[in-house]
Amino acid sequence: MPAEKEHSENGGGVATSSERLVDLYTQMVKIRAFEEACQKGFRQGKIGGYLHVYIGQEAVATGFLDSFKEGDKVITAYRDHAHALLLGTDPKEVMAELYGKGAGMVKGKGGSMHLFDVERGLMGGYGIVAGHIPLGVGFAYAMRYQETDHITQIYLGDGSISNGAFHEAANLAGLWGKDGMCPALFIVENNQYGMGTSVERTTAMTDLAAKFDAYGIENEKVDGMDVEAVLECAERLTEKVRETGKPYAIEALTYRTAPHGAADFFEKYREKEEIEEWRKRDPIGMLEKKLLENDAADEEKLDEIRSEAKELIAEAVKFADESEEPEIDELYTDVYAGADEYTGEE
Amino acid sequence: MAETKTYREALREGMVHEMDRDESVVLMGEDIGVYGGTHLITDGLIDEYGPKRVMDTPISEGGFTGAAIGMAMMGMKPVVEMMTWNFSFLASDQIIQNAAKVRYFSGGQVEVPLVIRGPNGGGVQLSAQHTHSLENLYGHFPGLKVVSPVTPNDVKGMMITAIRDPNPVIFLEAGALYGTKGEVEEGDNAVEFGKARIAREGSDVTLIAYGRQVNLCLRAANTLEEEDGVSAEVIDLRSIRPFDEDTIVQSVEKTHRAVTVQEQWRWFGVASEVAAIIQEGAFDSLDAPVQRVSGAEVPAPYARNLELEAFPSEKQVTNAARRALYIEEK
Amino acid sequence: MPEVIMPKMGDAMEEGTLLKWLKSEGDDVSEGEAIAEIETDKVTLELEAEDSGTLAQLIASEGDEVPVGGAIAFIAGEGEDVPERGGEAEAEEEEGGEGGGAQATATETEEEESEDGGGEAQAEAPSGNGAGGNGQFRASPIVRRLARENDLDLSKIDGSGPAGRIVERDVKAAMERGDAKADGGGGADGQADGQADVAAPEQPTEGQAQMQGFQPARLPEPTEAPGTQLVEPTRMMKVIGERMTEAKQHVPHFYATVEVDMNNAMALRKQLNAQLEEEGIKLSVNDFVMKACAAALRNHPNLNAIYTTRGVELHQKVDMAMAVALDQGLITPVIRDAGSKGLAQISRESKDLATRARDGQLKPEEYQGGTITVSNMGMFGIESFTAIINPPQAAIIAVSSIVRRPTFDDNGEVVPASMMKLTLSADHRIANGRDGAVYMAEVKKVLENPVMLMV
Repeated sequence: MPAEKEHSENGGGVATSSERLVDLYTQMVKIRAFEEACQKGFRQGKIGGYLHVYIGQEAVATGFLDSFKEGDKVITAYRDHAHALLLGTDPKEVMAELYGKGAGMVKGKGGSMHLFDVERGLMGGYGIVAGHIPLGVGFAYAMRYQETDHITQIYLGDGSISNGAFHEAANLAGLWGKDGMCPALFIVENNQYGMGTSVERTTAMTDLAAKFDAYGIENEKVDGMDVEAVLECAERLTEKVRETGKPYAIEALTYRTAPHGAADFFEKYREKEEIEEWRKRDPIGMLEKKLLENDAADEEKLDEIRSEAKELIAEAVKFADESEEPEIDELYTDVYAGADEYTGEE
Repeated sequence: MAETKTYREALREGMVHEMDRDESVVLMGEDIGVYGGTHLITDGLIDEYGPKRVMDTPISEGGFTGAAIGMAMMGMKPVVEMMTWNFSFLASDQIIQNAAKVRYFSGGQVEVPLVIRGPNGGGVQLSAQHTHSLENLYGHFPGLKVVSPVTPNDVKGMMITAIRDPNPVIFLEAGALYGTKGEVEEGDNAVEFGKARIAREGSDVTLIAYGRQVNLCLRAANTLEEEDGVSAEVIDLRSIRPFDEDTIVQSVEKTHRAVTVQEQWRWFGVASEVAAIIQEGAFDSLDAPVQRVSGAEVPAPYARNLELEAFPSEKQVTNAARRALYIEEK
Repeated sequence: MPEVIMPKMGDAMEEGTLLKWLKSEGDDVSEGEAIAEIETDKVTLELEAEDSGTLAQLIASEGDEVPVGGAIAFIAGEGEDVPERGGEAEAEEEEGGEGGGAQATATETEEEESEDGGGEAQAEAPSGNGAGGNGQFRASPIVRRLARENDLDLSKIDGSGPAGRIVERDVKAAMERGDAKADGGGGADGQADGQADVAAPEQPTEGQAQMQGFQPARLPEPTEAPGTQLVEPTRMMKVIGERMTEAKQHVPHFYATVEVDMNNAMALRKQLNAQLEEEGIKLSVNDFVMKACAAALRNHPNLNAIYTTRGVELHQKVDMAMAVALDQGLITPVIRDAGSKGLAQISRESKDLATRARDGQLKPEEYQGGTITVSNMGMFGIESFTAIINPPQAAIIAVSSIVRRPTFDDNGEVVPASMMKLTLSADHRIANGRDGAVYMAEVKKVLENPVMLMV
């Protein structure tokens, strides 16, 4: 069992409007349905390569991206489907990308790990653990250099904290933050396992939030399974970052009830009992309970939301299935930008 | 209008030219600001442009290169210095996995108008860890552009082009040539990528090189003229990716013989590529196999005499030419 | 109808093994319940049902290997039936079998082709001795180009490069001296006049019977005068031209003619054709000639051969080629093992081959190979002619027309006879004059006593 974590003193109990909660629930259910459809698609051989689903972690992105404002940027690693859906990309385009079709959100050239929707603020989708973090810091710097009041949400996993790229990027963020030149919010999605290895077994000092002290970056923790708690944090911290141009960090304790990737067999590195325990704290389950208890919605409404989500995702799957593969000529496009596009073709 | 300037001065002029034109151009690197740069390239610039545009970074090649890529993706035009290109290995994940590819795997949604520059190549007794010449390494990756200017005019003109290019440019300066002088055009002398330069015209054999080896080939050409009555053509590749195949092929079609010289090791080097291009494009014009002259297959040594032995010499180049001409080596 | 499939549990996984069923056919299952144990190459794990219902049909058995995506069971919802599955699986098996078969055939064809490859004419670059003297030419690419462009004979140029490589300056010097021209004429000095073969780069050394390239003799440029028309050779004509030139230059031909009294053969032919009319077979004179030539080889096996890089290769079976004239040339389809075939079969095959030859529908293996050729110009009223051997075959027999002529019978009386001349052209490296003569005598004997064809 993972060590007991302290929960932020700002956790839970915030008065959020019913409407808002129902909306959050809808989003999370949509993500869950999408990810489950992805798992099926992978097993059927329709999705190739790597597949990293967000099941169990929905509350984190849902909560934080609720505070996203136009002009902001979001960057994450490869567990990125939820972020794309939350920022508004049509599930059809996301699924088509996973299915490797030309209508996919990056034309079928990236796949699951490289989702971009730059207009809506999603700047990727990266396959190298921690490799994306310095980019995020660069986005933040540019925002202040260009004299806007936008901010960058940088999502990173617990495994990335051990990588040199994190250290260098966090140092730069803290350094530039001193001059208000780094409006970045580091959101550590601590699902307690870097692929197959627990945080305990890889990290000398397991208080991930506290690591940011070393870079002069203020930090907090939040219960990543409680969407309301996440919401409160998100609102407060994004506001702070926007105002000060300094970076902040929040460690969201969460759990992925699904394997790391589709090829992961979790019997090996964690106990079935542990997963069962965390399933009881499933963010969607917990929110359902809350909605019913507070009369924000009834079973019928919840059912309706669930079936609508199912339908929406089924349409996305159908669209992806029926779409064409990319044109072969697309192989050679987008290698270079500009008028003298060097296609690389012989 | 042209003036005689050093390579170093011309390089600075190129950067300044673009910084004046475009607010989004910023310089980043270790000790480039307050210290003035370890090679004095950026000396005085921080006073002119301020610390926001001439940014001193911590010793975090991966971190600040990645941040620069992020800035470029947001529309800024960072010019990042690698104090020497030998330190770029620390940033290679960012360069290769992000800068080169992010446009592609985002389906064309982003651009990376980034320049990474710094002294490249050896020859000044900096020993094994500080003596790489990385044209072939970075030249390998689609998505990057790679240039290696030799003359002061080219370094200025190519820097201007590099900063304007919306793609990541690996700008390999010939570190050993910072003090050399040459005629430099005033103002905007942008030199396009993908065109080699014929440094010397000739008719009997073509010598092909990049970086400081170009000057070596020019010296070798003089020797061949004096001692053997041989007229050698010297080509300065200067643009590694995109690469100018036509100039090389046309030259060999004229001279029928080629020697290609590279500072780095023989295996999988630029010279291999040149040789392949020549045999593909000028096969029926060849009178002899393409000769390659490369550095010794060892990590670079420190001692002066060993180092001289480790890199291509005039003797090696002239003898390679003589082999191609079937005349006696000296 | 929810199918339970073998799931993809790893990037590279292509199939899994169904280890154990945890539920039986007919059991109720609910979504998420483990119904079987599966083994992949990495790990063993439980397969969970993705739907609720009745486990209606177990398709895979314990121990089966199932490809990813393959069905292993059905879960029937309420009131649903299990569809037929057997047919699909069988069809897959059949396809697999055919695929294998097609591959096997392809391989065989390749092997045959390479065996018969020797029979194909190829225009190769001149492979002369050069200065190296080991049969290998060493010349730089530009030298070869200059030689082509200026019609030079590289065997006449010494190479000053490493290992005797001919390099540019050698060619330039030779061109200035003017002594390297391929035709060896003009102001050449010290040219051996024994070389009657104007265009040959050199003679093959002993043991080398390689195909040489077609070297044009000193030919004039087209005049393009009024009243002339230039006919560019087709590929076939070029190849035939090359082969014939090569045969004439390199194969030491000798000739032997016999005149055959065909009375008996014609009579037998008439008799047989009457019998065979029902079957639609009509024997021709040529069928008789081919059969006789094949039969005669039994006693003269040294003519059933080809000439190779290492000498004479005797063949047991007589693969007899027959010349078929085409609009734009000539082709020689082969009747395999003609010695073992009866007249009727030879007749059938020869007609079929000839028809398909004219229609351009012969397969390569049908016109390659062959040890001996029969060329019949009898239908044109040709009294006699000599044919050019098809290298690397040992011989070719020219069949002329049957002419009614007066001859003497045993009593000295003048009687009419149907006389036909057969002329053998044979390769003197394979057979000598006497061999050829005796052989032809036998052919004549067989044809004049055609009942001998039965034994």
